[in-house]
Amino acid sequence: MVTECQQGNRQALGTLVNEYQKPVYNAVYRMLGNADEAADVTQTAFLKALENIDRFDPKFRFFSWIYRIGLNEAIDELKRRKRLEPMTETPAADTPRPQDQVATSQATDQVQAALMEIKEDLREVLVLRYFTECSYHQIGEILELPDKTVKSRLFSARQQLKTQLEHHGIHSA
Amino acid sequence: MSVERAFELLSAAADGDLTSAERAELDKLLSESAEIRKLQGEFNDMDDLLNRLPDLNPPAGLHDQIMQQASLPRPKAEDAWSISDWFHSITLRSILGHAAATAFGALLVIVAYESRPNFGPSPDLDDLVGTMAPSAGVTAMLDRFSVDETGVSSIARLEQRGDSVVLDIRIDTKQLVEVSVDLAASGFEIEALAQTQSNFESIQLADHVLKIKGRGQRRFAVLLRKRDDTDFAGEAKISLEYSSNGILLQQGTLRLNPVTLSLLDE
Repeated sequence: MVTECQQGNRQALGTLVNEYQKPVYNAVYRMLGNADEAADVTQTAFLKALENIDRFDPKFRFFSWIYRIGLNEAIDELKRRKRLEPMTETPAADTPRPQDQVATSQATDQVQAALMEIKEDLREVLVLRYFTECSYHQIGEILELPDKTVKSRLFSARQQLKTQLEHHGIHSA
Repeated sequence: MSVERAFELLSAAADGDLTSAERAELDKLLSESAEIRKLQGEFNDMDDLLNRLPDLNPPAGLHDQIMQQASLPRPKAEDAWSISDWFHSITLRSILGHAAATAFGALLVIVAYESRPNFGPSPDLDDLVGTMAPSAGVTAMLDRFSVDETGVSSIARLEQRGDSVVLDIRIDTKQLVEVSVDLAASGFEIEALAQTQSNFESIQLADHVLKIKGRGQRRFAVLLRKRDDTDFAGEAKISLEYSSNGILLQQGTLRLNPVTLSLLDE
């Protein structure tokens, strides 16, 4: 399918976007905690990927590539958000869209809030592990990390998340 | 120490990555310590919470927006448009064109924005624009341009809000930077301008070019309306330039595709 996109087949492109937009959007959303920004970043990630699709090496997996671009864009967005923070009203005040209604229960909001408080490099391994169900090896491929580093980051990420969940009253210590 | 080790083993177990020796070690820790058993319960709860977070559906229009803006490789044609054209250079000729237009045009300095009472303390764009335009939330993000250079960080978003089009620009600069918004090829003109910070040094509008100069954190929203002479037949674009002391720092283009424009035109 990617090869067909490289040859300019727009129907293949439509199929590719259809297949990957939801997992990429979900991963980006869990990194950013904001639906509008997640949609923007997902769009940007796809456009960047498609802009460079002729450089994509088919021996690698497309999902690794698009996730990598999506997460990098999400991290760039977080950096911009920090710089512009005093005048950014978005993250906590995100108005739920109809499609997000299911995610607005108190528990899921608190889990998302706790996720937002752990370090970005740890959050991204958790996002890939839980929201894309990647293996250590696939996470390593996406983040360009050895499997052992992925394992140790997941351990640290879970420790930090447990602490944050306790702060949010989800866990009793 | 055993708690830390137990957590490490629980983490590996959750990923199915325990060796038989590690499994035996974890079992031993669990059998010997109530604290570790409690930890296991908490770990499992957390794992369960993460696994139960729902999959979210992306916005309904996302697929179409990507498809409308996506460009695939094709044999190079003279007029072939590619995503990289978003950031294409503005030629010297066009810069001179803008300068000439500015020189000959009637220069309107919107001093009112400097001297009028503040728009109020609220930095919320919906509230701000709501005084001049439908306060509907963003219906669609039409295009977006970001700058993340040393000393200049900015996001420009072109948004459809109900029947209106709003250009929302946030900028944070260390030095004095002028943002120039050229609407000449957009088919739109400025209906209203709002700012949430009052640290602008000057705001000028001449012949469809809005120039806002300032330092530090600023945000402004430009409410756009269709020009009377616009038929929206082709692609429309808004050119942005960020410059300091006359030196161009960054430039980009926000594009409105014909499909979106035709919807706005209805």
